[in-house]
Amino acid sequence: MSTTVPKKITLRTADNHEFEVDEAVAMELGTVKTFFDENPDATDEPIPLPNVSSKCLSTIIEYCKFHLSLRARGNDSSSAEEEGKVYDEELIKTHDNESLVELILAVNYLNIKDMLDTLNQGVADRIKNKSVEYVRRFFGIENDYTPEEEAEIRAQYEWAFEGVDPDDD
Amino acid sequence: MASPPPSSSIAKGGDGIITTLHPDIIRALILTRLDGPDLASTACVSSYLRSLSTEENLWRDICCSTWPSLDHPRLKQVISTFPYGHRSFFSESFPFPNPQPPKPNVRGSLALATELISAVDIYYHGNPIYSKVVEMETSSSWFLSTPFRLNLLGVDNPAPRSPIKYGSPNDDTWLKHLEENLSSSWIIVDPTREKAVNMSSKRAVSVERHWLTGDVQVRYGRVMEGDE
Repeated sequence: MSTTVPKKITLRTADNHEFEVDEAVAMELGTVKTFFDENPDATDEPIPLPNVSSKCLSTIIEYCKFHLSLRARGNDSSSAEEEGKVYDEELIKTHDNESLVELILAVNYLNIKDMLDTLNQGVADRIKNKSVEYVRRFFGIENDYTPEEEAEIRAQYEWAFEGVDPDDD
Repeated sequence: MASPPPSSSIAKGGDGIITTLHPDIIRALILTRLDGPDLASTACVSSYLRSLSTEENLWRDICCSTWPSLDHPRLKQVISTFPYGHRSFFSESFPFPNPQPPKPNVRGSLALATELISAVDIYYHGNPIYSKVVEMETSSSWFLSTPFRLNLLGVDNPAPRSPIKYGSPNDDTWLKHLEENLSSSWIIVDPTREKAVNMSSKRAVSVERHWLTGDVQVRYGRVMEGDE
């Protein structure tokens, strides 16, 4: 398989940008793979991805290329695993909440399990061990409880508020 | 540490950006990565997140990963009768002092429980190394006239292989190491009144070598408020 000239596949984003990628990279996108599995004799027409922006797709393609190359080095390389982790951490760090959420939506649509796991872990890490107020501010969530309701719910969960990180914003 | 978002994300609208995600994603892929206290605090954020974070299966998974001993048919059945299932169980068994003493479920009934179930978990470096459930009747005269104790190990239940390396005798740094890394949980469940309580301090209260046998004793404790 690897000896043949890599086939190229063209993907078209919601904002009408076309990305030409190696077949192996395109097959990392579960949704694209399913399309080719179901339509084995599909033509070379660009594949429309109406739910994905070009900004997200370029991040996603980079991610898939990088992790493909890591996998190609084999599992015996423990440094590959470490590099993958560093890459994933960097990916989370360079995205603010809004773009992280946008990316999750795109990755969920494209059905890339590993990447979705990484991104969701990133969101969870941003909530972990934080005060309620911090989480509200962080994600821009409006408090829709009345003061009485909130007091009642907090009393119910009083045990949870030991030792949360001090708000750093 | 992530930096706080620019205020523009708040100005976007009351729903906030996280709620643009499909509830299934939040529930199945984000909330499942939180622990009990985080999930509880998420429930306090807004009614929408509360509706997503009170699901029984989230709390069941958290309970079972916190206390592997709960993977026991009788306990599963008992916990399912708690008012909010595993969520109630978690908040009653979470090993931090609860400033408000739990109110008895059955008003006026001070009858002793006729049965207690103990769920014991021991951790080293935070990883569970031993779990055991013991069911015990509590009304016979034998029970009532003996100290309340559990013998977890016996001929039929030999100690599991433990990852702890035995330190040299009289080695204080090794005892200190145990004190810092060995933790325990002893949850006592009253199946009749659907209540649970964790009797163990998370960390050891003292670690000592027995003067005669040389065995190491690790003590955990909990101070309880009693009724008149």
